[in-house]
Amino acid sequence: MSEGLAFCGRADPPGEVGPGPVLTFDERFAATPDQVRKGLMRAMARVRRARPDHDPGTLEIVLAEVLNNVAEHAYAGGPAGAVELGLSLSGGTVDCTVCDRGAPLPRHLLDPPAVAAEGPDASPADAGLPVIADELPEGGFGWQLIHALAENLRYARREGCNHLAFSVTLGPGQRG
Amino acid sequence: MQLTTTRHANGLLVQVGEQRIDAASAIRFKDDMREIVEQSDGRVVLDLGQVQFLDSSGLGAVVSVMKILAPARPLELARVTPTVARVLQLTRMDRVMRIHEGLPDDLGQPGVAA
Repeated sequence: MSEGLAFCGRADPPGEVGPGPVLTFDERFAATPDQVRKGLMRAMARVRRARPDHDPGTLEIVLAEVLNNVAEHAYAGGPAGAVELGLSLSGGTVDCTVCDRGAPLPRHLLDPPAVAAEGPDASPADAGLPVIADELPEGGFGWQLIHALAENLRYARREGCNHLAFSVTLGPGQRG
Repeated sequence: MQLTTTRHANGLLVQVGEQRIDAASAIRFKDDMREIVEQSDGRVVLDLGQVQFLDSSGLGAVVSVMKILAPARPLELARVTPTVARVLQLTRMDRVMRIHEGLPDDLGQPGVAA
């Protein structure tokens, strides 16, 4: 499905036969919630086939959040554009690239979330205080999950394209 | 959304018959749950035993249901699967709502399906 440089040219060539990393998955699809779900499920099926003894749960979480972020924000205000997802397997690690031709990614999102003054467990529930349900956020969890689970997160804006790259380590053992 | 509700003596059990609560279905889930909540009272237990995947949109929908029920009616989760548990743990949402490993044993006798 990839049309080479027609969408967003890759800095590195796609996987080739030989000692290079195998490109497990390389597809472009519309950046809508429905197509993202389907594309993500196709990608996960491919990873499971390639690594049947590993747990891809955290990979699925990160990819869902990054792809949904593109679907929700990259083309906001206009018709849905495309998103390109590339996955390369290297042992138990998956190297991922997500590209789109939408608006530039706000750079502050790439900074890990600030740690609360009380420390990492700064939840009212931890302090024994009653949780005020009305004050719970209903959004903003996406980047929190990305920063918690994605490794080596990096971003480049090149020729009208957003390139987000990161790695995720597959868990050991297959969950039921 | 496939939601099956059963009224018990001590709560309303809502079984989610979907494999994913994600960006593609979160709004529908939230709307369907709002309807169920408005037509019932008391505690609500969400059985997520069939839900294999929940993303931040799905989590946001669950939180919004919790807020609709608050403060008088608790929302509890049951039979959470591993990836869903991971999302709840990473976002610390497992500290703000009660999560049962199986179905709660204090639901009481079931009545007629709602």
